[in-house]
Amino acid sequence: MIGQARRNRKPLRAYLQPALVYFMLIIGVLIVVIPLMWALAASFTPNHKVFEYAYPFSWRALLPVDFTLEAYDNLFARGFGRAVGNTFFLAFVTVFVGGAANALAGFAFGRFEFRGKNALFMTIVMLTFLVPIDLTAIPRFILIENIGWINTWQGLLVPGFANSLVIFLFRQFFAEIPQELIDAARVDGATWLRVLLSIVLPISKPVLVAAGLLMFISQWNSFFWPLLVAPRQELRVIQVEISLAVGQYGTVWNELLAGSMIAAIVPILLVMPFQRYYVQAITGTGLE
Amino acid sequence: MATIPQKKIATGFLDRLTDETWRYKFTRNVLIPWLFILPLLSIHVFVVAIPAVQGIYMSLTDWSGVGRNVEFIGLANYQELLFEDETFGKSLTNNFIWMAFFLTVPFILALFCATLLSQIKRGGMAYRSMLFIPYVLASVVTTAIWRNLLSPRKGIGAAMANLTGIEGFDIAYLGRSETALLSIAFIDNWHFWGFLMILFLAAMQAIPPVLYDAAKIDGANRWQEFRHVTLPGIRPIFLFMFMMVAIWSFLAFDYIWLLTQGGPGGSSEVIATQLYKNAFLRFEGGYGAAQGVVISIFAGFIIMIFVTLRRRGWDI
Repeated sequence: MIGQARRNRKPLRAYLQPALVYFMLIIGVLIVVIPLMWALAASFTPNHKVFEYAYPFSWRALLPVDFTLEAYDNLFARGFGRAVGNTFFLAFVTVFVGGAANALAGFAFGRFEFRGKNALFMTIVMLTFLVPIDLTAIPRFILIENIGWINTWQGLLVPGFANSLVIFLFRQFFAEIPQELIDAARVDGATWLRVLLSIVLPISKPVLVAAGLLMFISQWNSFFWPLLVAPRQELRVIQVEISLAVGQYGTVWNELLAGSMIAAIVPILLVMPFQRYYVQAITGTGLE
Repeated sequence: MATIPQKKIATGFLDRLTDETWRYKFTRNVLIPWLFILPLLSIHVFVVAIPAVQGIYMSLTDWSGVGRNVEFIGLANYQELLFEDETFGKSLTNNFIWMAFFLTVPFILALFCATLLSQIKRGGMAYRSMLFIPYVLASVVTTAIWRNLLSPRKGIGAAMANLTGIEGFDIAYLGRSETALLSIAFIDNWHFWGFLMILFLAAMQAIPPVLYDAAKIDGANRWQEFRHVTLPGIRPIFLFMFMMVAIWSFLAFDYIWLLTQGGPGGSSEVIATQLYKNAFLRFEGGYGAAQGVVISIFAGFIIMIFVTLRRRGWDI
C-alpha cells in the first residue's frame, strides 16, 4: 500500500507542474496573440463590420468570417505599394552602406591600438545613448535643410547609417578573432582591407546577420525622422503612410489595420528564423 | 607538411614586427585605423555630434526654432524651466512614474516567464518566438491596434463589461487623466517585455546545469535555486538592462506622442513630449533645447551612478 501510494504521488506532481507551466505560458501567449489575431482578422473584414463581433465579444472577432480583400485593394490603389517599395529601398541601402561603415569602424576599434581609441569609442557610443533624439533632431533638421536635403533620399538615408549598437557588435566580434588568422593573411601580403573582406567577414556570419537585422528593422520601423525630413508623397515610408491614414481616413479602420499588418509581417518573417543570432548579439553586448 | 612552412613564415613575421620602422608604426597605428573609422566618423559628426553641440548652444539662446534670429540669453531658459514652469515639474514626475513602472512590471514579467520557459523541453522555441513578436512591431502599428482595443465602446473594456456585467471596465482608458499614462505604459510594455524575457532566457540557458544539480543535492527548493543559481547567472544582463531601461525612461516619447500627445490636460506629458511641442509646434526652439539638455543630464546621471557603484566594487 505504502509503495503504491508513493508511486501514485510522484507521477501526479510530475504531471501537474509542467501542466501549470504550460498553462501560464499559454496565458502569456494569448495576451500577445489575441490583439494581433483581432487586427489580422479585422484587416480582412469590410470596414462597417470591423467591430461587429468585438462588442458584444465573440470568437468571430478573431477570425475573418466576412472575408474580403477590400482594405488591401483600397490601400494599394492609394499608392501604398510605393511606400512599401520605398521602405525596402531605405532599409536595404542602410544595411549595406551603413553596415559597411559600421563594420569598418568596428574592425578598427576591435583590432588596432591607436591613441585616443577608447575615448573616441566612448564618445560615439555615449552620445547616441544619452542624447535624446529630439534634441539632435532639431539642429539636424536645420542642417539637412541648409544643405538642401529635405525631401531627398540622402536626407532620409544618411542619419540612419551610424548605429552605435551595430559598431558595438562588430567591435566585440572582431576583437575575438584569433590573431594567427590575421597574421597568416598579412604575411601573404594582404592589405588590411583584404584581410577584413576575405578573412574576417567570411567567418563573421552571426554578427553580420544580427547587425543586418538590427539596421533593417530600425529603418523599417522608423517614423519620426522620415515624417520630419521627407513628407513628400513620393518618398513616404510605410510608417508615415499608416500614421497619415489615422488622420485622413480616420474611420477606415480596416485599411489602417491592413497597412499595419503589412508593416508587421516583414520584421516578423525576418526575425523569427534568425532570432538566435539577434539574441546572442544583444546579450553579448550587455555582458561586455 | 603544410604546417611547417607556415610556422617558418610566422616566425619571420614576428621578427619583422620587432624590427619595425617608424613608417611601419605610423601606418599600422595611425593611418590605417583612422582610415577605417573615417566613413563612420564623418557620418557621426554630421548627424550626431554637430547637432548635439548646436543643441546645447541653442539652449542658451531665445531661438524660435525657425530663422536665424538668435540672441544669447545665458541660463535664462534653464531658470524658467526649473523655477517657473509648472508643467515641467509635472512632466518630470510622469517620467519618474514611467521609470517606476518599467523598472518593475516588465522585469517581473520577463523573469517569471523566462524561468517558466527555461524548464520547458518541448515547444520552447515556438513560445519564445510568439512572445517576441510584439517587440519587432513598429510603434505606429502597436498603437494602431491598441487604440482600438482600449476604446470604451468597442474595445476590450466594453467586451469585459458586457461579459461580466460589471460596470466600470468600459472607460476611455486613454482619454481620462487618471488612466492615460498607465495605459500608454501598458501598451509600450506589451511591446517591450518580450525582448527582456528573451534576453533573460538566453542568459539562463547559459548557466551550467551542473550548478542546478549541485543545488538539488544540497537540498535547495525552487525559490532557493532561483535565488542562488538563476539570479546570479543572469546578473550581468539584468543590471545592464536595468540601467538602460532607467535611461530610456527619460527619453520616453514615441508611444506617448502617438497615443495622447501628452493629454488629456497634460496628464501624460513627459519631458520629451514637451520638448517636441516647444521645438516644432510652439516655436520655442531654445527652450525646447534646454529641456533636451536636461534629459541628457538625467540620463548621464544614471550612468554615473552605475559607474560609481562599479568602482566601489559592486559587481555590475
